[in-house]
Amino acid sequence: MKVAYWPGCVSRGFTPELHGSMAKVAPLLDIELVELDRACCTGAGVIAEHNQELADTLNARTFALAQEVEDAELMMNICSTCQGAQSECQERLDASASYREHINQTLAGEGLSYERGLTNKNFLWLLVEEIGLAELRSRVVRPLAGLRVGPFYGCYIVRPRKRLGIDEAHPRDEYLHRVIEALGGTVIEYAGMRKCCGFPIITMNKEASLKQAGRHLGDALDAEADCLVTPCPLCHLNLDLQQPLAEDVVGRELQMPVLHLPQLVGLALGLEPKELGMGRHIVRPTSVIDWSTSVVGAAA
Amino acid sequence: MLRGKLNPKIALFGHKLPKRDLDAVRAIYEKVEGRESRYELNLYVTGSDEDTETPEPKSEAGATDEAGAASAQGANGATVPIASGGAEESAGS
Repeated sequence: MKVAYWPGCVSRGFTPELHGSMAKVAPLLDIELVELDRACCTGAGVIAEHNQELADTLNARTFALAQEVEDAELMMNICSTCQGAQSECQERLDASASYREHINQTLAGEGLSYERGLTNKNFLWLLVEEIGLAELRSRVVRPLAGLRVGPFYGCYIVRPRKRLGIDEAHPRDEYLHRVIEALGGTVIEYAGMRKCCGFPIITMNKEASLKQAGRHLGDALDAEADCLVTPCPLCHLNLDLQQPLAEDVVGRELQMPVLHLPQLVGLALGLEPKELGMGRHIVRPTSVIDWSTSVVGAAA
Repeated sequence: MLRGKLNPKIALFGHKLPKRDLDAVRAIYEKVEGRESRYELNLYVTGSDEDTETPEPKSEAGATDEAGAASAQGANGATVPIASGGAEESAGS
């Protein structure tokens, strides 16, 4: 399937291993990525707080660019925060024709126009709803047997439920669980798996932010998870990049590897940890998980 | 940085947009930020997605058009119509 691909800013600048691993995984799932390299940042909710119309216009421009990608079935992102910010803007744009017209007047100078009804899915949603768990399972060449994986959803992809299309037919707040199982791993539940990682408050109250991250990591450690997996690069920043500082704040050693979702999928589809950029993590999965006896061993 | 975790250039300056796109984004900022009063669609006020059916759509966001006129809320909180007779699209459009 062909998708208009929105990687987001963080995956390009702060977590390039996420952007890179998605590029490696896509062909293994027959996903053709057409990167929206003309689009700007979503504003991550910050611009919307400053000026709602500005955020809506910038995101409407991105949506319009996505709608111009020939034969694309939908728009796909790999960032939960982008999903949350974009869904918020799209909710308003889709709710009112007159508001949409007002926004489109600003885009008219570029010859762009957003038409109501774009489908914009995080890679996690696309895996379950478009590719399907059975198909995903059939493509696994290296089951994550013995790997105990803690899902970390973060905020933006699970709240608010209605805006994000979470209902009985689409239990998107369970999808990480299902994907981990489909890849052959064991789901490890812990208290913080759907809570905020703390990233949004890190510039305002660093200690509280690190305490949040440290608590979630500690909970996962207590539940005997081998690693966490997240669909959000901003969560990854707080849980991995800041993990040494979080250890200091909570006063315990954590050493919990945090994988991006495409990395976990890539492992099960046969890619090597190095190809997936795992050496770039602050807590390197390869130094914590004995790959010779887990997923790598299973493939041998 | 030693591990290649960060790309300092992109992290500090952002993804480099082609010049025409950068100009277009800058023009959006100037136009919208330059308005004397701000337009803000407040869905809690207009209540658009509570009493209508979700369209079959393509849209996963689930928001639906409302039957009444949309409104915009200025920066001072005053709600003013942004369009008269805002007949909205029907579900499934």
